[in-house]
Amino acid sequence: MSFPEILVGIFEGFRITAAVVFYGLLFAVPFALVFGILQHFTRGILRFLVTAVIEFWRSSPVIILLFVFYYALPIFGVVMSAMTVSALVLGLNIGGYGSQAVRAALQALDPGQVEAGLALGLRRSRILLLIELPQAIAMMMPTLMNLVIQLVKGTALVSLVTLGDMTFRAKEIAQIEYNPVGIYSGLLLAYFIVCYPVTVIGRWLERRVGVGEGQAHGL
Amino acid sequence: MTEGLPPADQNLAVEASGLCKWFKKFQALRDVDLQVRRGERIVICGPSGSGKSTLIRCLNGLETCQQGQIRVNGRALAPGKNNLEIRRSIGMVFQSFNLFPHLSVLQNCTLAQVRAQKRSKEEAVEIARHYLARVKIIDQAGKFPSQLSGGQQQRAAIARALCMKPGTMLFDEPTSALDPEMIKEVLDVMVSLAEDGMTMICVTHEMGFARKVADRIIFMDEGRIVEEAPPEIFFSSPQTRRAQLFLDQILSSDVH
Repeated sequence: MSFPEILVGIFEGFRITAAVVFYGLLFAVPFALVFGILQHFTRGILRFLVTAVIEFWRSSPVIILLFVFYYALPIFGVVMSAMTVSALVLGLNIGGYGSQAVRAALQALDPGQVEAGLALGLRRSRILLLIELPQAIAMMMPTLMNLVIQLVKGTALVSLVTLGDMTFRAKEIAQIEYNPVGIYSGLLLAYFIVCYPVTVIGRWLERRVGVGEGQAHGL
Repeated sequence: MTEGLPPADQNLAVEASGLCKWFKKFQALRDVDLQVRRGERIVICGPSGSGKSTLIRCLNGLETCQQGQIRVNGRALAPGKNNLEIRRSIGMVFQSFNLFPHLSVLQNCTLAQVRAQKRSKEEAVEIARHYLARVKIIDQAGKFPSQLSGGQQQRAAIARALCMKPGTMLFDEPTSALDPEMIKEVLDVMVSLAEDGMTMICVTHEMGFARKVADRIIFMDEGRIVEEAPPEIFFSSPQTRRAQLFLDQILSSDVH
């Protein structure tokens, strides 16, 4: 097989890779927001519980979580599809990292912002939604884009739970013919082709949400 | 929570009695009593760390006092709660402006009108434009805070507070973060507010402003109100040694 043929073969797995990323984000984004915000606002035992959940997801190796959720849980009657397990595990792992970006951004905001909202008689929940989060999200855009890329790359593991993603296709091709250099450099290139647009979109988004146009473009 | 206060007096905008506040072991307020009539202009001054900012931050509940009672427009302030109604009736201007950087000047002025006071968008914009014109930055309405000078930002912050149509305005060192040439434009706005009969409580070191508009000067030191007098008396014959010293320092620094 020629190098272009190998690439085309690898990209047969693109739809699965993209699906894992998409569904993974459906887990990651809400988890990061909800748990980041909870960790910021809770105290005492509640905060301990929130932190414990975050730590479980971000401190466990993804590959082991995949195996446990896909191969071990069915023994206890919990059966999920390979796609569900992959999206859940990768998503919540990345979401765990994301929650720390959310919390850090909320903590980094000038407390005067909340005070100004309170002084205007806004409810605390409105202040979070209308004043804190828009600024926090703008602030953590670079980190969030990092995490999306990390999620894309993390999908390379899902071939181990039978999903036919790009890595899975590459390994299939490797079984047909012996050409490790061609196949694995093709795979590297394939992930680069997928990730690079994400960084470009990310930079564009960063500019779009830049806090106050003046700050983004100078005076 | 009102047992320390006499029955509500409709002529009073703000009443506080027996306020004590500690930050950890440091006592910031020591048994502070304060009564402000409607339409009265108060200037609070004193050395740094004397509790002036803490006092006015207590009046709209941004800080909670461990002891004492506060009533605003006859309504008791509930400690530790989000006193929405009271806060909507008191405007506050901060030393560091605290404009919302992700919103335009106009949006800064309409946000709480729409979200807290349930005014329609059109009405809120109309009110915002009125007050932005009043503080003379209507031409900057579409800009973001970071595109404005410090003086313009502070005037925008004043307009934002006025949009809530408060009966009382609190100013927490509104000119302290400004370059000297911008102080006057902010003070001019404050003077015109005072002339319109707004109840004002200002923490400031601008003694010229105090002389011009204050009905009463409150001098604080170490968390106590040490002296309280009309400006002509306070500046010409301060009663306490502490106030004399303070005035010597602050007025001599004006000369240089």
